[in-house]
Amino acid sequence: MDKRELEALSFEDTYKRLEDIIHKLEEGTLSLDESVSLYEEGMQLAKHCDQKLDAAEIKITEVLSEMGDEIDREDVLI
Amino acid sequence: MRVKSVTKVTRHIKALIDADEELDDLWIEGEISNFTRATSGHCYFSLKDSASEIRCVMWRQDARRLPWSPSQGDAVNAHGYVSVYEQRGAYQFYVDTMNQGGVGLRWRQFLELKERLEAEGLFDASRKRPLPTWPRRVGVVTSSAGAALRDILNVLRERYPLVDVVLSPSLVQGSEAPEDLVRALRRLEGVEDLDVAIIARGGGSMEDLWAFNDERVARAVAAFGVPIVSGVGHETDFTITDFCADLRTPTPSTAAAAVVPDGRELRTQIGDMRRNLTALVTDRVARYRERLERERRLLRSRDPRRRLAEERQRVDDLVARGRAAVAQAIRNRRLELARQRASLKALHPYLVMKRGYAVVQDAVSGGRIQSVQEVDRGDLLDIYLPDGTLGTEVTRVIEGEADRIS
Repeated sequence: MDKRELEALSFEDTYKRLEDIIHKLEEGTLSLDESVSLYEEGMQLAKHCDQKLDAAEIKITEVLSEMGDEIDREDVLI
Repeated sequence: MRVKSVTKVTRHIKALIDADEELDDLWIEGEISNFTRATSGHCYFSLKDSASEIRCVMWRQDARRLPWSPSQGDAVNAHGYVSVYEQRGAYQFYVDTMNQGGVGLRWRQFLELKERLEAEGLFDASRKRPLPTWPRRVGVVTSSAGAALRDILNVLRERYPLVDVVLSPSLVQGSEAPEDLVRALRRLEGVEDLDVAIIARGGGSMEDLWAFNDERVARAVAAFGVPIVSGVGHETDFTITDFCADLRTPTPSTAAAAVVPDGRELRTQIGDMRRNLTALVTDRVARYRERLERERRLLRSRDPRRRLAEERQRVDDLVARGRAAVAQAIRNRRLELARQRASLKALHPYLVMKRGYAVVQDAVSGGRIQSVQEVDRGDLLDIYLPDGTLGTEVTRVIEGEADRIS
């Protein structure tokens, strides 16, 4: 998985993919090559998860009307 | 019929009331309304319940002794007596003491509403929706100025800063609050992709939280489009809104914690998975290595060169064994030979001769002479002795046994 593909994944998708990989490895039916490439991908995903958690900033908007219009409300960050 | 004066009638009524023991010393429960404290310090107010109202007076010296200061909406138990204020022709409850905690009107209304909505099934456990595991957009209905919002944002930031917060600000206190809360909820309903919502207000008196006991608010929460979590007030306060929410939590902070996963736990899990990954792959590689080693051994055991070597060794073994057998045979033969040679030696004529015997041969034919009958007079005989040969001519031939030889 290249960097751009990884970036496009949401946190939960990354996390779920990581869980999938572990399950697959636990089943133990994979070839050595497959195991190793899944391992590499898994480590990449784990790192990505950590980075996402580290770098995330809550985005705050305020809803203005019943039409669902929103404005940014970064000023609420106290 | 005699016409009576107002005063007389009033006094009569007062006398009747004052004579009633029931009204002379009693407790009344109700909710305070229209409370005023005159500059004199005397307090004037009403006690009411859902159907009736009674005028009350509390004199300054009694009011001063109260440990709290009564106000509008307080549910109280009040003690005193009922009498008539003649000048106004009004019967009044003269309160000498009262305490909080009586069942007030609002409390009754609260209980009534709670019962009604419960009967309608709005609080049913089956109506409660599960909260999403991975929310992305969290709606928040609360005051945009209050500590509740700050608490919520802090908790979200700390636990799971991956969410977007959509704030729908509302009044959370006062008579306008219920309608404003309903409007704020409705605005949130218009937001796309909302996963979960929080309706919250910081702690306060039950009076402060009253908007959350409003039927309109309760119904709006019950009918809300996505799962909604309440966090109103303190630990112990339950509002009707709490009962209608998909999940009731005691405070704004706990509401925020309930709607998102715990980042710290996630990090721990990710760490575990990382270790798990490494362990699994290490194990896998080790197992493959083991299998490889096994196959290598198997292969080696089937290597034709190895076979050849084995054969060669077997041949070598045979050769060695053969060689040893031959050597042994030779040794045996030699021993045998030596033995025979020894016995042969013992039989050698020389040795016999050494014992005083001689060998006689015909000097002409070389034949060995063993009998006198082979010899004639005049024959030339060679007589062999151990150290030489005697050439002789036979002069006599005497037949007979040789036992004369001494």
